[in-house]
Parts: sequence; C-alpha cells; structure tokens
Amino acid sequence: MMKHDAMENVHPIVAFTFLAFALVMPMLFMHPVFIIVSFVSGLIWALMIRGRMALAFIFKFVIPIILIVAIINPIFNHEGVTILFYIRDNPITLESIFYGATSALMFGAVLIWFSCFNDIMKSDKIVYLFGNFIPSISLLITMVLRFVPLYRNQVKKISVAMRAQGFDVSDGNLLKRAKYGLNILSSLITWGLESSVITADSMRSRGHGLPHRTNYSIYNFDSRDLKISIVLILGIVFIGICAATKAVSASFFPLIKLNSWNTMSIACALTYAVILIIPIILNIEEIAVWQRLKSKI
Amino acid sequence: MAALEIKNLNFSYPNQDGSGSFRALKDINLKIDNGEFILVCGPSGCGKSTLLRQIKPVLRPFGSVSGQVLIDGRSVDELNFREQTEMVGFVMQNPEMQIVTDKVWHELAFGLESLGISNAKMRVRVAEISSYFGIQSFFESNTSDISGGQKQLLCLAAVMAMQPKIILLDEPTSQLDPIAAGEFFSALKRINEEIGTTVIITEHRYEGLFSLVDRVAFMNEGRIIGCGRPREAIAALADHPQFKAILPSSMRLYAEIEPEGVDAPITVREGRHYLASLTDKGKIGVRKLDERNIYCPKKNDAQEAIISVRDCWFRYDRNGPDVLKGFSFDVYPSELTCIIGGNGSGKTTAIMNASGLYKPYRGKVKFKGKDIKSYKNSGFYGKQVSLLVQNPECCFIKDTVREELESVCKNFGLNGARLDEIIDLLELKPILDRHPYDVSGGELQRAAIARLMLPGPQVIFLDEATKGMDAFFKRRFGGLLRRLTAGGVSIVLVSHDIEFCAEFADRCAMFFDGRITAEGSSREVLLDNSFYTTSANRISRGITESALTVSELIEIIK
Repeated sequence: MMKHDAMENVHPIVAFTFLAFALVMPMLFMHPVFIIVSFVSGLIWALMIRGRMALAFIFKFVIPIILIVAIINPIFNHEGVTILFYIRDNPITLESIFYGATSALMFGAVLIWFSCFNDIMKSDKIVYLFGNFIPSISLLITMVLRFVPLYRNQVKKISVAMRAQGFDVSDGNLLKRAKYGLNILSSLITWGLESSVITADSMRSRGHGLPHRTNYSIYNFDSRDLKISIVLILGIVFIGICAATKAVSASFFPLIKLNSWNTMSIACALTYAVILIIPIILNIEEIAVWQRLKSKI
Repeated sequence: MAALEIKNLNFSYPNQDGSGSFRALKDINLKIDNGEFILVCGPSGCGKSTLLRQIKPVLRPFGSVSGQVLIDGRSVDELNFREQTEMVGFVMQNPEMQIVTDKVWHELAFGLESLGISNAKMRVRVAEISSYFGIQSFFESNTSDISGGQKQLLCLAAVMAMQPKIILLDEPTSQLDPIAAGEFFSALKRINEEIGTTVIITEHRYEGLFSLVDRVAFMNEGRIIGCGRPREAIAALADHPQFKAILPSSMRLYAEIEPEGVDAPITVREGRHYLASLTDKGKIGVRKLDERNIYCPKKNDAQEAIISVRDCWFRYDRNGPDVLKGFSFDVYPSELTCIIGGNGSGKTTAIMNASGLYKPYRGKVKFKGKDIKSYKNSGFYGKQVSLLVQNPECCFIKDTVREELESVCKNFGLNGARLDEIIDLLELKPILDRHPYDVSGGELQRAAIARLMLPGPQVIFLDEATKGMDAFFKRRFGGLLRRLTAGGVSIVLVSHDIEFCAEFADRCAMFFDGRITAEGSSREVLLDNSFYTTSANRISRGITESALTVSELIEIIK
C-alpha cells in the first residue's frame, strides 16, 4: 500500500514539471555524477512513498535490469581505447564497461522515477493537466476512467449470471465455450448501448452541449507551490546554462572525458541534487512538524 | 402563480411498425404550486415517466404532443436549453448509468461546468452542496467505489448543485434497498422544506412516501384518475377501487371501514391510533383469526431436504472478513423459501454458496444427499439448479424475448411444446416480440424466470426478484411463484421485501451476521418481531390479535 506522501498535495502542474524534469534529465544528460545523484534521490523517495513494497520492486525488477544492461553493453560494444581483456577475440574495453554501468544506472533511475510518477500523478491530476489545454479530451478521459470499472463489473455480473443458468465459459468443448464467451460479449454490448442512452440523457439534462464549458478543479496553488516553482525554474535555467557552456559534460568514447570540477560545475551538480531531493525535504519537513506538534499536545 | 401548469396535455408514441400511434398521455391537467411535493403513482406503463419527460423537453421522447406545459406561465417549449437546464432538474432510475465522471467531486460539478460557471463560484457551490448532503466523507472517492444509496444521493446532489426550481425524479429508489430509499426520501423532504424546491416524483414505494408528500396523483392508462392530499386518497380513488390495494397498510385498513373517508391514517403510528380508537369505542367487533384462513405451510421437516447447507464459512479475500459464518440452511421440495435480512448482510453470497456457484472454505453443501461439487460439468446448472441474479438483463442476449427463449431451447435441446408451456405459465404472450430492455422491470423479471424455467430445474434461486416491481405486479408475481412451487419446483427468494415474504413465503429465514438467525413459517419468524416485520403486524400489535397481513387484520376487525 502506498503511504501518504507530501508531494501528493503539491499542485499538479508543479508536481508534473518536477517529475518530468527528474525523468528526462538522466536520459538527456548521461553524466555519471548526475546519474548517481538521480538514482540515489529517486531511490530514497521511492522508499518513502512505498516502504517495503519499493524494496520488492527494486530487487525483483530494477536491479536485474541494471545488471543485464551493465553486462550486455561491454559484450556488444567494443568502442574505447583501453582494452582490458578478450572474450572469444572480442575486446572488452574499460570505456565500454564504464558506459554500460552508467547507462544501466540511468535505466534504473528512470524506472524508479517512473514508479514515483505513477504514484503521485493519479488519473485526476492528469485529467486536470490536459483539461486546461483541451477540455473535451479531459471529459473524454474522465468518462473512460468511469467506464472501465463499470464495464469490468458488468462482465463479472454477466458471466456469473450465465454460469448460474448452465452457460459456463469454463465448461464444455472449445466451440461451446467460444459461443458462451460471445454470449457474454453480446450481452455486454446490448447493456452498453442501453446504458449509454441513459448516460447521454443524464448529460443532456445537466446541460452538456451548452457553449463555454468550464473546467472544475479541486487544486489550489499555494505559497509552498510558489516556492517550489521558483527553485525549479531557477535551477533548471542554471543547469541549462551549465550544460550549454560545457561546464558539465561527459563523453565516454574513445576515452572517458569528464569536465574538470570548478565552482560552476560543482554548483551545477549541487543544484541538481537540491532539485531532486525536494520531495524528500517536503516529507522530512512534514514529519518534523508532526513530531513538534505531537510533543505540544 | 403556479410553478408548473399542465393543460390538456396529450402525447402519442408512433407505433413501431409505423401504423398509427399509441396515446401514452390523455388529457392531462395538473397545476402544481411553488414548493409543492407531488407523488405521481400508478402501475408500470401508466405513463408517469412519459409525463415527467414532457416537463423537460430535452428529454422528451419522440412522438407527437398537443396541449401545454407552463413553467411560471411560460411554455417549456419557449425555454432555451440553458434555461431548461437551470430551471428543471431530472433524476433517473438507475444511479449507475446516470453517473458520468470517475470522481465524486467532478460529478457534483458536471452541471456547473456545462453552465460555464467560473471555478471560484463552482468551488463555493460544490462545497455547500456536499456539506448539505453529507457527501464530504466520500468527496474524493471514485464513483465506482461508493454504495448504491450514495450513488443516487450523488445524482440528486449533482442536480441540486444547479439550483433548479423544479426537480423531477423518475422512480429514483427502485434500485435501492429500503434503508437507502428511506434516506433518499428524507433528503428529498429536506430539500423541499428547507430550500423550497418543487418536487415531482414517481415511485412504487408508497409506504414511506405518502407521509412526506403534499399531494398524490394517481395515473392509469395515460390519464390522471385522481389527485389530492394523501389523506384524501381513498375518496379520490372512489371510482377505482382496485387502486386501494396499493396504498400503505394503515390506509387500506381505513378504506375497509370508511370507503369514502377523507382523513385516512398514513403512518403506522396513525394506524395504531386509528385502530385503538375503533376498538375503544366498540365501533367494531374483534374476532379471533380463523385458523383455517391462515396460510399454513406444509410441514416438510420429515421430508428430506433437496439442498442442505451445513456450517459454511466463506470470504472473498484470503485476508478479507468472513461473509458467511457457519451458514446452515435447507431447501425443501416444492416450497417457496424467503431469505430476508438487511442490506449488505451477505444474503446474495449465501445463495451463491447454497447453489454451489461459490465454494465455501469450510462446511458442506449437499444436493440430494451428495456433495454439490460432484455434480460439476454435467449440465447441473440449468437442468437441476438455476439461479437468477439481481439484474435480470444480464441474462439476455437476443433482440426479442421470443428469440431469447428459443435459443435457450436450442441450447438444452428442448422442443416447442415445452416452450409453449412455459410461455403460458408465465403469461409472456404480450411481450414475446419486444426487446428485453423495452419491457418493464417486472416483465423482464418474468421473462428471465421463463428463461430459467425452460430446462426444468428443480431448485431455483432468485435474488431480489421483487425489486422495482409495482404493487399490482408483485401480487401477480407472488401468485406465479405459488404456481411454480405447486408444480414441484423449490424456490429460494432473497428479498428486502418483508410484506411480500409475509404474504407468499412457505418458509422464512432471517439472515444476519453471516448465518440464519431464525427459520420457520413466515408467521413464526415475523410475528414475534417488532422492528423487522410487516406494517400490519406493527399496527395490530397489542391492540388486537397480531395480524401479519392487512387482509388478516381486516378479517380480525370485521
């Protein structure tokens, strides 16, 4: 089960910008230091969101993928000048091992951030984001989200109803089972047509189709959202400048070449870290406030 | 000025084959004052829904209209779409299908969004409406996760958010259990009293509504045959005595004593008062109930049970709560057994287990002395045991009732004689060529039972079969079930409807907390209850000899 996370209360636009940044950065910018920062901060946050469930996800899914990518890359990629040894006359190079490890970690980081994205950006937030641009699409998504459980439920009802009268999909020869399966589908379609007539009436009766439709949202943009946005925007701009001026850079072939570490590049890495630990800070802040309040009660 | 005035309204549906038309409404005249609460009642197909839809032209069915419907003196046809939306709200029967969006808060705002109201204003409206209706507790839920009663309350609130002057409700509680229906009615009463909204409702449940409404209009075959205060209903229906059978129990009692009276008791309390005043004054003689007239079930205990369920335990999830806790139950040959009990108590789960469709994790279910699991994969369901779920439309695939029944015959290899026999038994002739979705709830139930009876099962389970049936139809349906049991079928009916069970069941079982808590003839089970029992019993308790049905009560005092 997912615990409550401080990021859930952040305005969807801010949360989406942050998560999109966290997801895209490792893919755009393969710098070992940045990848490690991204991986570690993503990992800590994922643990905060899901606790033990996150560990299961990491051990069963993320780590195997990291290992596979890290091993496969040097086997098939023979670029690089520092040859360490040969496997069946194929050179294994230091650069390719290093590149493999970095890209594997990059994959891992993206996976972890994506799981966080899924936990925080629930359907209603996505609908809200798109609703601001295209209202009719947002209504469509909402209705689809409504109909998926509705139809699933109806299929269950129909199949029990049929089974109870001797039309069992899991019984009899293939032909019979296929026929009973089609029965369920056909009953579902009839029901679906009928129910959509009623839904349409219900929408008409509440004025759907009138011009100038507005979009209701339950989200507030508060002062904390403003602060986070400022940090985000300034940080992203600064990192962009650093990348453009090659203050931070990484290339792996033919030789591993990282930028030299001066004030600017250190500041850039720190900024990146500060941005990515925003959810962690928010969560720790919440816990601290609770502890303080509890001691006062 | 009247809030709503209907003048000489006629409406005809075109016939399906294009020849002529069917007059659904005939010379309707009705004047409704601002803030009135009106109940429109009558048997299914009398035109009540058609009448409601005339008041909101966007929902008017296809057909030809003559006459006028005026809101505040303006014809509804002159109102534009926006005005119609703002002035007249409409709540339909099926809460499931009326809900458009996936979140409760979004559903509340849906109408406001259509009207183009600004976000800031919407927030206020949504906040006040959800506080008023007590929706805060599930405000952020998915609409698919809330209960049926909550769904219908949400539909009402979503309409009320637009602040209509008039709301129309078309059988809003037909899909709800009695408790949820009661809550829905009290929410309606609050709106009517505290906001002053004019309410027009059609319903089949009169028992709870009669005491709430200002006026009742009775409809039959497209005409209004009587209209007046609920207390005057008996006099209003003087020309249509058959309608008296559908009135609340207290009123039926009153109608017997004063067939022209204009001050009928409505609630059980008033009924008790009335009965006591009659006996005190010695106006009536009180007799002993004639034993011979009491319907006594055949004692079947000596006979062997056809299905026997012993100590069944069942849960849906390994970590979930137990729904059945030592459920034991017997089904005897050619008996109508009713399982009654509160909503969500697990009655449906109980019959799913008793029929062997769900497997208990502990306990035994036997059919004719053998474990029910051993009958699997041999056409057992259908031919021996059959079950009809709560929503009979789930069983229908074909476009007409006739095709549906024929396809079942083909599937089970039955001949035409059997089909004709069943069609006669269930009186299906008039609806044979209609689409299953076009017939009334009661007719659909009957068609579904025909479908289930065709292969000749010995035991049938019916889940909430009387839901959404009008009072007339219920009586016919009860008679039909009696006919089936007389023919050797055992019927197990799960129901909320105590009045129905009291009148028609051979055996009654009260289900509570995962098991049967009382079992016996319906007299034995219901007569001693003071809360969970029929209105006639509540009225007569301690005043005369206890009666279970109104006809018994009438017999006692005559």
